[in-house]
Amino acid sequence: MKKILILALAVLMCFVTLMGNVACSTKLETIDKTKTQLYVGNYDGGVGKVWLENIKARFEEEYKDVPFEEGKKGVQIIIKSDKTTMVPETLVNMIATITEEVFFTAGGNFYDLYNTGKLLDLTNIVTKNLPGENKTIEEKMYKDYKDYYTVDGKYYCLPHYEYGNGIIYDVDYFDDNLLYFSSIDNNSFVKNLKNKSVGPDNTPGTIDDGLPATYEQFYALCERIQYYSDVPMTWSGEYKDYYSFLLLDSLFADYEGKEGYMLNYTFDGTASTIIADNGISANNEITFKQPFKITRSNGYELRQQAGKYFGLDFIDKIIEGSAENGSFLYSESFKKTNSHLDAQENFIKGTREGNKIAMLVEGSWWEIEAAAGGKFDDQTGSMARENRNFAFMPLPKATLDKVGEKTIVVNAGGGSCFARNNVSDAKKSLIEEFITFCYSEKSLQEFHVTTGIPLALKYELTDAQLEGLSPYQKSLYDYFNDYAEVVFPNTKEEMVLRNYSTLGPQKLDAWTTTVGGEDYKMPCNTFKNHTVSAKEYFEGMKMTESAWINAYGSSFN
Amino acid sequence: MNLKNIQKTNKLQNSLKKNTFYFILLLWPLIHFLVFYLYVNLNSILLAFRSYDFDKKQFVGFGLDNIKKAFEFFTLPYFKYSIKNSCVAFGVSFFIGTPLGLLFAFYIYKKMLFHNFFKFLLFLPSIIPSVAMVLIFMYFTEEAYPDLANLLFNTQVEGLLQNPNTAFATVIFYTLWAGFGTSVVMYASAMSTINESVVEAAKLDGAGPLREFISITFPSVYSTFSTFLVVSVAGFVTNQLNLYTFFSTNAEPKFYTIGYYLFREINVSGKLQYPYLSALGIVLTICVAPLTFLVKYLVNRFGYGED
Repeated sequence: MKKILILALAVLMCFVTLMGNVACSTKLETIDKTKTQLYVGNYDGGVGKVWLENIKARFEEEYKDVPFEEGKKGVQIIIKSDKTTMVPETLVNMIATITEEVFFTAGGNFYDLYNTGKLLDLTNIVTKNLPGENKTIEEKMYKDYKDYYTVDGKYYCLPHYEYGNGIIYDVDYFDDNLLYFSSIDNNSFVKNLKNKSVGPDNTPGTIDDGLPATYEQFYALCERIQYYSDVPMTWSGEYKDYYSFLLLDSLFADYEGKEGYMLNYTFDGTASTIIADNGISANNEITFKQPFKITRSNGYELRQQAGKYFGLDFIDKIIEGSAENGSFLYSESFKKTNSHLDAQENFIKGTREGNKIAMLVEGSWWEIEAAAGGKFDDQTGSMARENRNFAFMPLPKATLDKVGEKTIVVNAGGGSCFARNNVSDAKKSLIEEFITFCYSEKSLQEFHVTTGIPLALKYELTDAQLEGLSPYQKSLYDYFNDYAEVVFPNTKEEMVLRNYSTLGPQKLDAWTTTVGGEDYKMPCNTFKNHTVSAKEYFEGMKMTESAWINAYGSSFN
Repeated sequence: MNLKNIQKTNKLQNSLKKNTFYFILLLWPLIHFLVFYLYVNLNSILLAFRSYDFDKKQFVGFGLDNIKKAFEFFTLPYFKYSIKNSCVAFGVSFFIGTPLGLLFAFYIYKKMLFHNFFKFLLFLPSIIPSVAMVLIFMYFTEEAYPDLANLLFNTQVEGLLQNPNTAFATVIFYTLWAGFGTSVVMYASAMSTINESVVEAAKLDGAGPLREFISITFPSVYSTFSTFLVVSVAGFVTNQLNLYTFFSTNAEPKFYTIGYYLFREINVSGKLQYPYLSALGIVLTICVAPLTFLVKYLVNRFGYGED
């Protein structure tokens, strides 16, 4: 009896030990052996997974009688949505062995994935007309994405949704408090909702009318909100470095324009906004160097682009705030316990102290993320999600001479779609059908209507679909479609690809500075602690030629 | 003869069965060791002498360039912060953590008031997953502490991690507190093996608690103490101070320890940097290994022996 007990215990211990040595498998639905399975991985981030589940339902219905494998009819799509594995950085190591066959991810370095040799060649489906349409997927793509995602003329990845980072404002709050600048006197606010100023685009009758055209106007707006005993803005305290940096990068891009911003990712062009040594006067007047050609060997000069200084100055000012009422940011914006969902909730419902928050620094996906996080659930009546009037704020310009220039929005981490090639021929055929289906006009429209997030592709929404968008979703549509120029900073520039962690799009490491012998990496923290000024931070970012060669010289040729 | 042969055969068979059993028992851990320790570390060491060919997408060559470049780390500003913070971390751990650990262990060993409660409280951070523990701690420092200050003293204060003047000290405190569990349990276990008759004899001779600790308890747990010391010295360059758990890759450079710097660089850099980071690991090992052996020699030479 004792022997049997010992044996049973030994077997149990082996079993328990084994469990720790095998991976977890989450079977989300029962496998239907009469159908062919297609495994789809989805980055469950801002845009969520509902859109993909809608596609699954339609695709399974449409292909229910189509055989892809012998003895089977129809398709069963099994979706795995998560944030940990479904990112390019992780998939690079897993793509050879992962179960999923098609992927919808976000951000990352496409060329790391391509270099695994495991990406399926999608050229076949990209270059032929979509069923029922006179267009190919290729024709729906913009040039920058085509250039990036093709290797030797073949497509291995497709763009999907696009997003930007910036400031979202509560339109109802702005309307109720008449927080618009007047066309009669640019320095004062309107007395009613007419006579709004022309805004940053210097054109009347557009979405930015009445909104601050310059940084100075923006600060005046924030002070006005503080005067009403409310809070001008907030961002997530837990991710303050991330959100403040993305806002900083957006301001930088907006100042420089597409060409100036893209110099950082092409090292090929003319730089005309490089600040000269000691070129920032006490009253913020800038002296520029004469325009000159940027190449790989003098890329260090770009660290002194004026857009970087103005962006830093803006972040410094909003953290410092006004002399009377302090920071323009909500006090929770610096607490590590204030998550992105908490910040969204504060923006939707107001502060713990009962004050309103007028603006939120976030990504364009924030609203659907807040809804999925239940932040609108207890809101009713005029405060219910469908009745709230939020909008994406056109960024103000750093200086008066920039007013009227096209606003830039950076789509650095947008969505993409690819598949792995180590599958059977039958599966390849199914994958091609599925991806084609996802890029049909109907699917693209459905994605936009479900998520409110625009896609980095050419497609149209019907009038009825446009009417059905929420005010925030409508503002995003206008912003990305018409008002702003979307910039995709990913390039094939070899030096960037070799040093992606420091030279890739939106890398905080590219903004390190040395002031008084001390290194600083986080502009937000540095300004919060009043350690250095924006001017000192910017001037400390200067890099010498020898340091640049030391860091990147091996990539020059 | 036959009987002898049979006995010999039986003995051999039993021996074979036993050895087979031991072999099977050890096989899995052995495979683990070979793959996840030996192979991984050998590969890392080899990587230090290679470079990443971006065009061929593989590690190629064999040379000392990375080793030469690794020595440049000692000239970087990061080294200045890292060595200082690593020294602070070690100093706090040894000069504050160790005495306190011994004190708490002695308290628990002596079964003084609420000893079980303290045992539970000190060991709690070792049971709860590190990430959960850090989260709870962050809520205390960022939410509860400011609210308490406001409630009790009518003062508006920043969270301890939010305040740059207190952030590093807060991380040090957490590391100290979280490290008590293992050391207290190990010391208390070692103390429990002390012969009671020796303690009673000392008491009869008039020895108080302090004399008992110095002359009986500490010498008895000296081997455990010396092991902890040697391991701490060996871990000098890998100690991250939980910075990654608190700040991810976004800790301020002035908070860096050598361990955090290495861990962060591996996280944020690409394959191009791996050979350099491997080489840096080797260089740091070359610096720390002799120190570790020296400390081991000294604690054995000048410390308390087995008798």
